[in-house]
Amino acid sequence: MTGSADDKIYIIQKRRKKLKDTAFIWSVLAYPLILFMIFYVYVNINSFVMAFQKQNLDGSKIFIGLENFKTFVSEVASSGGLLNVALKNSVKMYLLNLLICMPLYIFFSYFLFKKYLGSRIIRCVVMIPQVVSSMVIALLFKKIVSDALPEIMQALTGAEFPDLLSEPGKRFGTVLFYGIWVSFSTSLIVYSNAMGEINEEVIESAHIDGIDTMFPELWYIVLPLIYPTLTTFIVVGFAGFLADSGALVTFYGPDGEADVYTLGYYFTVQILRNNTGTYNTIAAGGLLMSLVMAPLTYLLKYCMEKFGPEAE
Amino acid sequence: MNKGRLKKITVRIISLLAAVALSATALGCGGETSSGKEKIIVKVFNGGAGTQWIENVKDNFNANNDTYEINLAYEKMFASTIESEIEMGTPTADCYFTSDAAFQKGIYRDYFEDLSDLLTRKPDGESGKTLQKKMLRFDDWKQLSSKNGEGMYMLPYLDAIMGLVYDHDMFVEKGWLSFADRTDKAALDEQGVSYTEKTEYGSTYLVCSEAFGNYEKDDKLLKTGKDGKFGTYDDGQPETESEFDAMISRMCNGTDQAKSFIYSGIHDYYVNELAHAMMAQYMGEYAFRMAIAYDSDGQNLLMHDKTQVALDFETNGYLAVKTEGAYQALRVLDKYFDSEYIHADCKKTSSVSHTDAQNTFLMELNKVATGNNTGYPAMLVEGSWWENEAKTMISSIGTRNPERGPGKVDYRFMLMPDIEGQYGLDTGESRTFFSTLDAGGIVVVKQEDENKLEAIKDFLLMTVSDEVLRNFTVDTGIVRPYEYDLSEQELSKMTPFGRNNWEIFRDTENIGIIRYPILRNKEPVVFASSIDSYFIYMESNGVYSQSYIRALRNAGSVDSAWNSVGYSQEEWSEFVQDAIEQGFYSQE
Repeated sequence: MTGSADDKIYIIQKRRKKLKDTAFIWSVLAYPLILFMIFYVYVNINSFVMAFQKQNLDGSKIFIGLENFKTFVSEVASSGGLLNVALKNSVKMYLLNLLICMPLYIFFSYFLFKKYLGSRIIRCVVMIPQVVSSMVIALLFKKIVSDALPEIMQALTGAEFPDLLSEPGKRFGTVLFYGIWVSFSTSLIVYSNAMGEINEEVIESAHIDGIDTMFPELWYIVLPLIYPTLTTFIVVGFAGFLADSGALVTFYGPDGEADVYTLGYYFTVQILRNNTGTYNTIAAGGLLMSLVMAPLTYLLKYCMEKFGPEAE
Repeated sequence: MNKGRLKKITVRIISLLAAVALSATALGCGGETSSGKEKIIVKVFNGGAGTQWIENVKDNFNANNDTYEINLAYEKMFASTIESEIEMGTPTADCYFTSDAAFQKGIYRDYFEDLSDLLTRKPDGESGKTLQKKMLRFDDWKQLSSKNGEGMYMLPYLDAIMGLVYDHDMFVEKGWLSFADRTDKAALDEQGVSYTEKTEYGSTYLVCSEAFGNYEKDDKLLKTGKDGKFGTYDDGQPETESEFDAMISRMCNGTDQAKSFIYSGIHDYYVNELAHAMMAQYMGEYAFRMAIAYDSDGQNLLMHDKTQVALDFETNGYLAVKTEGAYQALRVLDKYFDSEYIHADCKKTSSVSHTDAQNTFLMELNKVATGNNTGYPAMLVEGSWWENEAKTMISSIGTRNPERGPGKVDYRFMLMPDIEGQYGLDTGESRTFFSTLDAGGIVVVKQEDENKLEAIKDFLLMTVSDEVLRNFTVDTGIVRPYEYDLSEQELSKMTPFGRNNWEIFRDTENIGIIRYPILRNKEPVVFASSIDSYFIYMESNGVYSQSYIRALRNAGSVDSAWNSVGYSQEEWSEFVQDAIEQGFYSQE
């Protein structure tokens, strides 16, 4: 056999192997790629197109320019309207998380990090909701608030006690409370782990420099060192807050009252109810929200990175 | 085993599994049954009407058809879900029996088969009536289920009313109803009722000397109800608002401290139907229908601001929800169903389902029957189907207390009282109204195989034969919107509540039944615009509410809720424009 024949066989074998490798790779990638094309690319393109269309009763679609955007904006701007209430609630939910919950999470995480008395018990208690399925926890909470609590309170006080998840004026507060309680564990784990990464020598050196009480240590040493984690939480939270529906679907299904609506819940309800008449408007709304939120998120990220404290 | 062979076997097994999985997915809805017949899947709404009745029809069909086999599936599906399934190309059945009538989108998009040819066929054989003759209120149904006035894409399934359910014997025992007295003697004599006079604790009352109507010998006679006859379904019931108030006061402020009503917190929109009924009762059916159609055909309707307005669909149709009838309905709703006397569960909007409310009602009344109990709900806001739906709980109670087992308790519907000042445009309207919640339809998904379609139609025809309709009503106590009658023997097999429901449907002289879902969904402005397809009242913050009671609760008062009712002229113009652009109302 000549050398060139060997080369040819080698090339053919190499090609076959490459072909096999390619076939193998595509066989693995094809399915997720098809899913990606259908459920991401197509859905998003379709959503984009839908935002400029209206569908008639007979299914025919007509181009209506920016009409859906106008409808969405006017509903959001209409004081007391569902979308207006939903937007306000979404903002409230995010601000509550940002301004009240986050400092609390950090404080408790620091408490765990310093291994103060009772920290193990706290860690264990806040971990429970994470161990059990979130659906089970939500249903348990619902059962306690709606059934057990009114009966216990009535037995104790003799007066009727409302179902806090149904009572006007209290239900959204109850939903917020649940959100804080449930997210406690996740945040506590993440923050305390980030604090756990801080080099012990840095803390000791700070002590030598005179920072030996709790708050200065937290403010001047710990926070700057976990700043990247904080940035991630704030930026990710900001990017997604308009789409957040919390536990509303678990509590109310698609039948939540207007005053508990968030934008995320509004979109979910339209889908759950197969409310196809609103799909074009919500497509426009989604697009509009992306247009507003994407640059703001990047701006926030930039600002946090630019103006935040340096770990050094 | 060498490596290559193992690999081959593995590949073959995986291919086989993949092929099986793919075939199962592809053939999910069709295919053949084990008997070699082609499958027809019929999905039935498994609500209060139950499903046993259709199992019997299925068995009968399958025994007599060599080519096709009906397979039943049960699920609570509504029009929007079914239409979405079809839109995605994955309908899970060939035919759906539903509690929904809002299939107009599917009808106009050609998702369903035209069933018009069934109208001339005779479900009961050549000597029987055609289906069209058997269907009640054909014109309304035709408008609802046709496409631009052509075809019939949906057949009627149920006709179930909402009302106030009470335990008649308990109400008599507690003295909450009105008893006949000496002033009724003349009327009793005129009706030929034999009675005797008795005195107990200083009070004189009349007792039957022999059984008649729904009285047994020695029963205390009650005053006549609105129908003016002794021995009928409404005896002893309050007729006016003040009498109704007095009855509620007796039950809630007496020693039992009972609660007036219980209804599902989650499904508190059940109470909406009482508002629709009250609106019809106040305005009269004729005017009610005009208000629902947003056009009074040149006739004046009384508005809440005391003006008389002729509704014209295009210019002022939005005023239809501002009639005095709509206001009075809201007022009555607030007065009775959001009062201090209702059971606490009514307000649990996230946790008390309709079956929870049924169970609480049954168990609490059982406690009343077996010992002392206070704070129990005296009446349940429910539909014709409730007793059939709650039969498991009733049977369970029956094992412990046979006197309250299936069919033992005389549950009845309490009529809503007359509202002061109520009137009807059609003269002499004095009927008491009920409204239906369950007035759903039957649709058949577009079929490619003509023979299969014919088989489905044959099956549908079987489900509306006299025999099936009668058996359905005897078994479930629920009426279907077709013309059929029950024999004395069949009536005797029904529970007292089933008979009560039947009597109410049959008394067309004194009872009016409005089919709100049908009347509303047949209007093009409802299904061809972005108007909400179900509700006429709005919440105080301008958000449409599914439940009128919640709208009232959120608003804080009737007047506050009322001020938010309806659409603005601008909104209305958009709805009208939507409908007109799609070709509706153009010839009118």
